[in-house]
Amino acid sequence: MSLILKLLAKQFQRRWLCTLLTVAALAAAVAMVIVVVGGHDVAFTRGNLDAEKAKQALGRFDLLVISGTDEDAQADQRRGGTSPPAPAISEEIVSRLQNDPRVREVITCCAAKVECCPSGPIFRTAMHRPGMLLSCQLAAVTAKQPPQELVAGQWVDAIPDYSVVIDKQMAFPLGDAVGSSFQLISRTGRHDVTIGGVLDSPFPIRRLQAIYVCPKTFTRLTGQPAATNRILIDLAEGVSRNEFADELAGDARRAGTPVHIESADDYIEEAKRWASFRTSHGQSGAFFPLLRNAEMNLAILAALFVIFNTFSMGVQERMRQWGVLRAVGMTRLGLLTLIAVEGFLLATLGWGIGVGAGYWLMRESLSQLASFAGYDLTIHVGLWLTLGAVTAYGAVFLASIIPAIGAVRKRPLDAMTGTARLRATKGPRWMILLGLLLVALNPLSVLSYQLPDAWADRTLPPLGILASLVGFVLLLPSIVILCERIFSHVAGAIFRLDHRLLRKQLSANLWRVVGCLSALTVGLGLFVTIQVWGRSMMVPFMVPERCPDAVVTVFPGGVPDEKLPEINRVPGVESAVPMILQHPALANLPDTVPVGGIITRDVIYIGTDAPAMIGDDKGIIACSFLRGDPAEAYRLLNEGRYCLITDSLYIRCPECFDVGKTLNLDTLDPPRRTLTYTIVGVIRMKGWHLLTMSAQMRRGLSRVGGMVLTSANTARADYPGANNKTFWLNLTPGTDAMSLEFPIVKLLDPNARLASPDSPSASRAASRPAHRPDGKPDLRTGPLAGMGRSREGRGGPPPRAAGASGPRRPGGPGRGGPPGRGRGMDLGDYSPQPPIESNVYCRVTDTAAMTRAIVRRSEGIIQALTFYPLLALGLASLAVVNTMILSVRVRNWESGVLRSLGLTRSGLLRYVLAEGMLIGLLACVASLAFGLPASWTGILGTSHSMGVSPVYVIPWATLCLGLAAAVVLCILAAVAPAIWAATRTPLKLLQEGRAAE
Amino acid sequence: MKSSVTDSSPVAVENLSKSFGREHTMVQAIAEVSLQVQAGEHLAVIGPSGSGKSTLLHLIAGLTSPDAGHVAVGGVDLASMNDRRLTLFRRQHIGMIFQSYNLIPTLTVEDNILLPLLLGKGRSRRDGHIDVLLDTLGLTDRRRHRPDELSGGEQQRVAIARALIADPTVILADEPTGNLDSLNGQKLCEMISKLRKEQKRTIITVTHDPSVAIWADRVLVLRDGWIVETLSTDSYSTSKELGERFLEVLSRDAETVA
Repeated sequence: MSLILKLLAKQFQRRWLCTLLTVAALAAAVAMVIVVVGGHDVAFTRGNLDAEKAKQALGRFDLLVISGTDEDAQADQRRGGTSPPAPAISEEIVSRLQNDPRVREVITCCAAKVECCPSGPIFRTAMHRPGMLLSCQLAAVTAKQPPQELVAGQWVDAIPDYSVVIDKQMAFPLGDAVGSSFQLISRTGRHDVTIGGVLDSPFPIRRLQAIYVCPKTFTRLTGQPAATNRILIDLAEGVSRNEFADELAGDARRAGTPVHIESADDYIEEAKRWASFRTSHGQSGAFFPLLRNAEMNLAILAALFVIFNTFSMGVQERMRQWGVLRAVGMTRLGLLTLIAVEGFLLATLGWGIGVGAGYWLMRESLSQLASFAGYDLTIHVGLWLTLGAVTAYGAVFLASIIPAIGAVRKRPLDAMTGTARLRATKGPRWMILLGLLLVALNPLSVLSYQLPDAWADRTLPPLGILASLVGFVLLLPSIVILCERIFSHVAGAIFRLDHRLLRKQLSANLWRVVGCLSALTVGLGLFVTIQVWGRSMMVPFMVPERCPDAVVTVFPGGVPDEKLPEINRVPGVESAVPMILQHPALANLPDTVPVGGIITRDVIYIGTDAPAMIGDDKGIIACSFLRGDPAEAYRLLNEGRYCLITDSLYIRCPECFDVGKTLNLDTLDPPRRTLTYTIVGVIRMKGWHLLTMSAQMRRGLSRVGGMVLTSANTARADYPGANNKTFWLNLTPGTDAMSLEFPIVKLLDPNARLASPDSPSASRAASRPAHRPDGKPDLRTGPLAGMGRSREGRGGPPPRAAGASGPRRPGGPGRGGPPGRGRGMDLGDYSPQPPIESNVYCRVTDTAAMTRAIVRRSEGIIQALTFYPLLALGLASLAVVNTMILSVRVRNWESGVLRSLGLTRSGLLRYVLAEGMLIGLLACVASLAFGLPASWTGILGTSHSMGVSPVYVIPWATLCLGLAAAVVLCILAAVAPAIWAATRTPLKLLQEGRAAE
Repeated sequence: MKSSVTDSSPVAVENLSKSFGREHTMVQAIAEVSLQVQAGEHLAVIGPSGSGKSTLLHLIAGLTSPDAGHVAVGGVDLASMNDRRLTLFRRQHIGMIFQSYNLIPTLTVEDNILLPLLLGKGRSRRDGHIDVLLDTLGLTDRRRHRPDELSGGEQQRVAIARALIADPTVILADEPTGNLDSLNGQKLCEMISKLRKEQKRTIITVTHDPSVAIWADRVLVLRDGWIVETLSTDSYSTSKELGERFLEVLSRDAETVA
């Protein structure tokens, strides 16, 4: 053993850089495994912890009684916007509960749905943007004691008017300090309210998130009396919750006011479901930025390639040395022991360093996330250590097994005559054929999206990608041989070398180069795939050039028919298309239509003047007909029960949703009925998904399956009493979309007025200093307050519409300032407007601002997704350095010959750098060859699942930048070996080369 | 220092010394060697293993620098040049033939021969010359072959062609027949001799084989880095006679040293 250790010590000493690279690659792989597995583990364990916390969701109470049926409660959960209080629970029931000896305490409240303006980075998920409103319950309570413990401020009975108590979960988006303000939107307009207290709430259940007020403030804010529609019940010891709930539900039903009852068990179940969803659907990425599953796994793959490449090359390089050892008497077992000990030492070193690095990465990442702060990382340390060890020792074992077998199978004489001289080789033909076959399999995986079988959906795409990856690795030798001839001209021209010196440079080290390219291609190929897929998938969601400047929704009752023409006369409005907006669901779907996941039955139903909305020339939004004739379609729409549908439905099931077919819709809202239409056209409207979501034209935040357009008359007939609530507007140049709010409100409510300086909310705002104590400008009151947007020259002070009446606020307090924050955070394009006192609320969405936000967000996501491939690429550059070092070392003799024949030092330097460049260029070709078809496959699959027409966009500028960076990285990786070779004398190179033979 | 090495002799060496190692491990490879090779002359350096033959050749080629003394090729002192100028000078004025051929395995015969020109991007000037060389050396039908498809003799002929392609001032051959059998070795020697006569080449050949040295005009016998004898091949009709004389010199010198 001492001989083995001595040999290894000398080996490590002589090849210290290669040893260092191998250890670095091992450590990186182990660290990534720990981050990935540990991250999942943290997310999953967090789910379990959340379930524990969910037990306390109702605090000291056992049951929450909500007015309405279970179905009503379910529908209400999905509904956004504002709504009046639900019907009151029977007084008899309330009274009975208050006198029931089994009940220890009862808190009654009246809840109505309101919206709040979050001004901070509350929504970190892809589809939420600043300016979107947070829907929650406004609860009027009379109880002297709060339902949860107060962590700050005072309870509702001790705070002034227009003050509210929020729960801790709401404090993050709305303001975390007592005394700060935010805007609350109800059916009576927009109001500034002040936080008077903060309640402790252990777990964020969205439907439990509430703003508590006293009944008086509730009535002022909502215009409704506070009648009990929610009851919190604390049961006495020994009373069965389930039995009590069943009894209460029965009583309420009999009293004619059905109720829905929830207990902590429901929240625990919900918490567990979310935890499972996060881990199984990879959604944890949204919560934990390091958990990008696919990218991280491929980064690990890249690291494994690096380990394989580095270790096996090192092993193979010493084949002759081992031949000598065999010749002088070392047994096969001894040789195997030598290789095993070397692998063990390197793996142990890499594992140790990797564990440390991975733990550090995890800790640093988690500390950035408030919700994970304080999480104990050592809970599953055993698992991380084991998995890290499996990676390190497993990779080394795999990397050493082939050369080890080769070494012990050789006879001593064979190994001794093994020459270091190189000759160009070719990959066997079967590899090309098998590679092509495997690559061809990937597009077939797209077919899985046509299959209703969930198993196929889950297994075929990953198998397709795996087949594609393996196929490309098999094709790499051919790619090397084919491309180096071409690129030798390029590299030769750049480095002023004759191309003939370079044209066999890589194929002379074919397998080494293939190993190195594999590592590079994993990262770079993924970079190409993500860029192409991401940019292409953005296109169908981008709002087209011709689209409405703003979307306006008027609450509560919309705009009466007689006032419709006046909307067009609002200063700043160029044209307006009124819509009757409803939210039915697809009905009577055949079993063959896949529903579930992101494909929902809900649709957006619009009754409107279709030509004015989507017509070729005068339509307010660009649109094309995929199926059907526009003229014929418009004619039929006016005749009655006909409709247009978006291509999302057609893509889902061309057999069901095509011209001439019948479309059945379930109205969902009472009275429930089925509406039947004949489809007269399928339209393709770019960006409708996000446009409708941004403008909150959906029932809630959930996805919709498509959009259905009928004539306004048909909609009125099918939805009696429905008014034109939503308008798509084109504005005159220079008009700030947000400035339309007050004129439109004023049009419908002549008594509407902007909050006067002496009103409670306004005076609070006016009393705030223009600058915060830390010296930064206060966006609520300072010079930035009221920063509005206009069609042109955005960012300037908002021009007031000529018809906008109402007092200007002195000094602009509250004018456009985000409520209650003042943290100087990035508000994007969003600036809330001043409070309006009215019984009409008008929600204005600036389409252009939303589009910019969407683009920013989408690009942010793509950049985030690109991070890990680039990380993998960085790791792969270790393989390039290693390949170059070995390549230069093996070619000492050749370099010596070239130097002695007249190649200058700089010539040799350029010669090695050119080789690095060739590797980089080949990696680019391989990555494009892999990434472009792979992204196409991905686009087809994703487009189908998202119900959009596939678009293929290649962002050449970004790709070229990334690929150029990869080439530069490869050239940089060759610098050290190049300098090493160039600084040696010709004789030294010849001597070292001869010694290595 | 201006010295005789700057005269017009193709190769002039004066008081050249070179040692390897340090202090007690130091080995004197070349000791105060002086010689001159005239234009068109073929000089053979003969000596036993470790006598410093190859080191002398490397010093003349400028592949390594001497501890003392001077080397001039074509009247230019190699010590006066930096590495880049020396490399360019070597490319232009010195042709090297190695014992192990040293052909680049990834290049064809043609590209191997053109290598000194490819390195200098000066291909066009002497491109046509390759046809003559291939014809002269009997390699025309091997033009597109790679080195591993050639016999040892053919590979060495390619090496000779490569040494000649740039029309150098001097050709340095290091054990050119070392890897060849005696028949092929003799053929190669004939070829080199023919080239020298026809093209008036100046050649220095290092060898330990008298049958190779006999083809030269003059033979220097080297032992432990010192020139111990200079022999004229005119005095010997066969390589055997030269070999006997060589052994005689070596044994005499050994006795002197003892």
